[in-house]
Amino acid sequence: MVHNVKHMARANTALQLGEFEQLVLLALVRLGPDAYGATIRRDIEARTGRDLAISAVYVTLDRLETKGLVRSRVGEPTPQRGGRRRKHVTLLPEGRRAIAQACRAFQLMTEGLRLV
Amino acid sequence: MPPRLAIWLAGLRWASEEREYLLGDLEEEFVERTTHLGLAAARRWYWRQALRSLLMRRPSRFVQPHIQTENPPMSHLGSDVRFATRLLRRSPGFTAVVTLTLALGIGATTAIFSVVHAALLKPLPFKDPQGIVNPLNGTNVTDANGLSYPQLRRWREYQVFDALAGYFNWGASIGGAAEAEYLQGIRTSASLFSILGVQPVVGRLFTEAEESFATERVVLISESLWRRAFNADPNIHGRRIVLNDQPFTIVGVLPGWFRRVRPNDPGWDLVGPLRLTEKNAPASLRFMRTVARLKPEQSLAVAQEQLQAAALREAPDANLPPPRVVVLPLREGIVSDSRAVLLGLLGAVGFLLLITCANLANLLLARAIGRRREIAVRLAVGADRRRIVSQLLTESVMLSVAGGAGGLLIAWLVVRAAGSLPALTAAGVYDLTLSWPVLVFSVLLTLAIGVLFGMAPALRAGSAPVTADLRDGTRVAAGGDRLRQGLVVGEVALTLMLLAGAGLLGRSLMKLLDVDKGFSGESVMTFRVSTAGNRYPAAADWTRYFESVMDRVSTIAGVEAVGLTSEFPLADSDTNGGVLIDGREFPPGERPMAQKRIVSPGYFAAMGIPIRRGRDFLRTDTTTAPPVIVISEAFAARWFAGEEAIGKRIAFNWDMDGFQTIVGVVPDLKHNGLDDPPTPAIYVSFAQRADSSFHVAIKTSVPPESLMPAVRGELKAIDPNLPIRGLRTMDTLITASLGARRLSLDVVGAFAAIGLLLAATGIFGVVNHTAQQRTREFGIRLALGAERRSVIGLVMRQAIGLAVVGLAIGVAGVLALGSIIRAQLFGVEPSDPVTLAAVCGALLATALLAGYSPARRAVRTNPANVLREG
Repeated sequence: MVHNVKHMARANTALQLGEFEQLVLLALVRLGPDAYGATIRRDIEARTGRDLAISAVYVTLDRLETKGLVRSRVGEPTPQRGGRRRKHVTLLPEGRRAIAQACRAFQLMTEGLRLV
Repeated sequence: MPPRLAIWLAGLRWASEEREYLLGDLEEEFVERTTHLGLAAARRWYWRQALRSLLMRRPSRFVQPHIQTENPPMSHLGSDVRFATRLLRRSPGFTAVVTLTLALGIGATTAIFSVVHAALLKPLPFKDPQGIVNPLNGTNVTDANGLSYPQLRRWREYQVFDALAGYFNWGASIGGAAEAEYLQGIRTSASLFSILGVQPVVGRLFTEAEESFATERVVLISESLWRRAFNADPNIHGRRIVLNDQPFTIVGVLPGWFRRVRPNDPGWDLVGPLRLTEKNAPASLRFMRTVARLKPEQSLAVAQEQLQAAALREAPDANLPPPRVVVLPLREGIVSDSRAVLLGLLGAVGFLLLITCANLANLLLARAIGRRREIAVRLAVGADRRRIVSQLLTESVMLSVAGGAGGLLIAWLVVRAAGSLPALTAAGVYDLTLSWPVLVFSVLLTLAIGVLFGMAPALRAGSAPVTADLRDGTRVAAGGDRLRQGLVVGEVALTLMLLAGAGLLGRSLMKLLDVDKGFSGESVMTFRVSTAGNRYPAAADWTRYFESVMDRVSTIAGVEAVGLTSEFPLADSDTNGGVLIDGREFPPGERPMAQKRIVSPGYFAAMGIPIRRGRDFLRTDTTTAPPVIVISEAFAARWFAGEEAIGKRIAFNWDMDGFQTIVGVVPDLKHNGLDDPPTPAIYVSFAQRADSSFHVAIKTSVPPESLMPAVRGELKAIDPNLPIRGLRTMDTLITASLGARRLSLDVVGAFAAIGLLLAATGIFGVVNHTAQQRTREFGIRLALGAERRSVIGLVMRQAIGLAVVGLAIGVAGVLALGSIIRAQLFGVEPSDPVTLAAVCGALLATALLAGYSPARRAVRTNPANVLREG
């Protein structure tokens, strides 16, 4: 019973990825296993032209981790960071599946449409 | 390195680990952006990031991590605020009354203190203001008067000060303008600028050499005149202009902030060098005001000693008492008159703040008592006491914040509206701004009271057994009642003192307005015209001009009488000096003194000054006729007691030769203020003692202002180049002379009214509460046949009791503190029984009114219902 509820929740989250969650996941696909907050923020900013808050990236990463779509590990402190450590984020297979599903849905929906 | 504050803000809402990663990312990018886009852009970007991190809406599990920890103090802030908002909205009356009470108390305190601060504490707007002093003739601030020109020169030679400057009022009409305009200004020593720290914005200041009579005429103009009349021409220096028919060279433009030394000086547009000689400014004319700068390390007392010693070393005039000098701090000369008024207002607003606090405490206590049962229930069902405390705290803080915001608004409005009141500039206020420290102080004070009394039930719940409150919470009179009664008594006492103050000030004002001024001044307007300049070189020219002014103005329909005077009553100026009496000798220091005024035939009639004995001046009293003089009753009483003054001969002794025969006696005028003591005065005719400048007094049978265009027209027809100035009606002069008193009365009166209102709500609250608690008892009484009237009496007795105790304390307070206000009173004693009785009556009536509605409600309850409920 409990397992069922959990499963349903998973299935739902996969379908209910927010727009910003999708962007973060796509950035993670592109950046590979060594991505972290700043690189994700910059990648999205550079591609979409949005002025992005780092806090928004962290809030989203946190949610994605709760949903089991990404995993994080802590790196070593570096001087450019004022001696602070870095938190690397890796896409989990579950996350890859979710974003693939979202993209597919998007493709299906946009096929043959002339929007502009 | 990014801005420290921004770093702190960016990390504020994050748990420590998450904060490390986030700040690390930000710093990494900051470093990169600094190299590519520059430091400023990088900092801007960092700030934006920090603020967005601070304001982010979607929480993550890393945000505010203490939510997960045990019983955090602030974690329920959101829900507490929502709950408190709901509660406060449910009792809008309570919320409104508390907020308004707080706002009035905080706002009034802040506004009044802002005024006191601006007048008494704020540094004067000059360079190193503590080193600037005011050396004068006299022994203290009340009898100090100005310097003569020879004195100024001698005092400078003593070398007591770093620099000493003398200045005096001057004014001129500027030539070539379409409408003749009179510009106010001063003539001054060049050292004035270095003493006050004035630098020109264009051109240069004038030099000490240019003070001499022999040099070319130069003048400095105000920034305002520069913009107004010269289009802010940057090359204005060197431009030649005509002032009073004389050519002057503009050498520079003064900075915009410098238009006055004292706050009530008119804004100066022209500042010229002294250009005096001992001949045109002899030692008998003490007309100069001063400022001086102390030497470094020199104290005021030492300066005064040195100056006094030097003055005594001078060869003394055997006919005069030894010279006395006094050195005052600049501020002292400015605020001496108003200090008592300002401190009185500060005291009054202190009382108001106390009343506010008492009322607030009372309201909150009443609410707390009412909620005791609710809290007991919550505790009984297992609520955490800390949660209840934090919730009550939130409520108190929210009320205080709302009240504080209201207070800020009130204070801001008052400061904005009052900033330019003449009464305030006269009181020594250069620039009125909000006093933030006081605002914070009042908010904190009320906050403390709010917290203390708002949390009473929660704190009490800690000590008392919950079951007692659960059982009796709604019914039994509590210990808080005694405290509330005490608070109400205090409110009544303080209100009585404010009311008494307002009453005494009000009675003083009425007595002043009722005083015999010596003149009626009804429907009189006045202005001043000066013939200074080349076109009126001789005394005969002046007289001819003013004669035609009187002739032409008197032909205007609606003009009843026209006259001239050298000194107009209540216009802040006067001239006095020694007088000789034919056939009498006086030892030095006992020679007769009098106020000296030059007037014209028709002046006494225009001003409504009755001729007590003898006759008025006539048009025939000219230079070819025998010289005549009119004296005031005080002069007659002092020097001709018991004998007939008419026909005696005295000497005006001011630019007039020989003796003049007394032909008339007029009443003493309230010349310098309605509270003036009677001063001896003497009058001569303008046709026998010419002058170049006069006040014109016009008595009309229609509203005086309506004739002004016609008057202007007649003057223009005589000479379009002579501007009129200081146009005022007698009524406005009388009002202005009462300025400080009026302000005092208005402010204290307003405070008293607020106090009365608050005391009334206090009494109402307490009596209502008691009446509700005794509903059952009243029901039984009524059921047993008691008359309604007697039950009403029972309730009212409490209201009267509270009021009477408060009145007794208040009256004692008035009697004890009365001497403080004495200086501001006129014709009444601080213990004036009429005022005290009236004030007590008013308060008692208010108490009765406040107690009546609870009393009515008490008897309106149906005994049967009450008994059934019980």
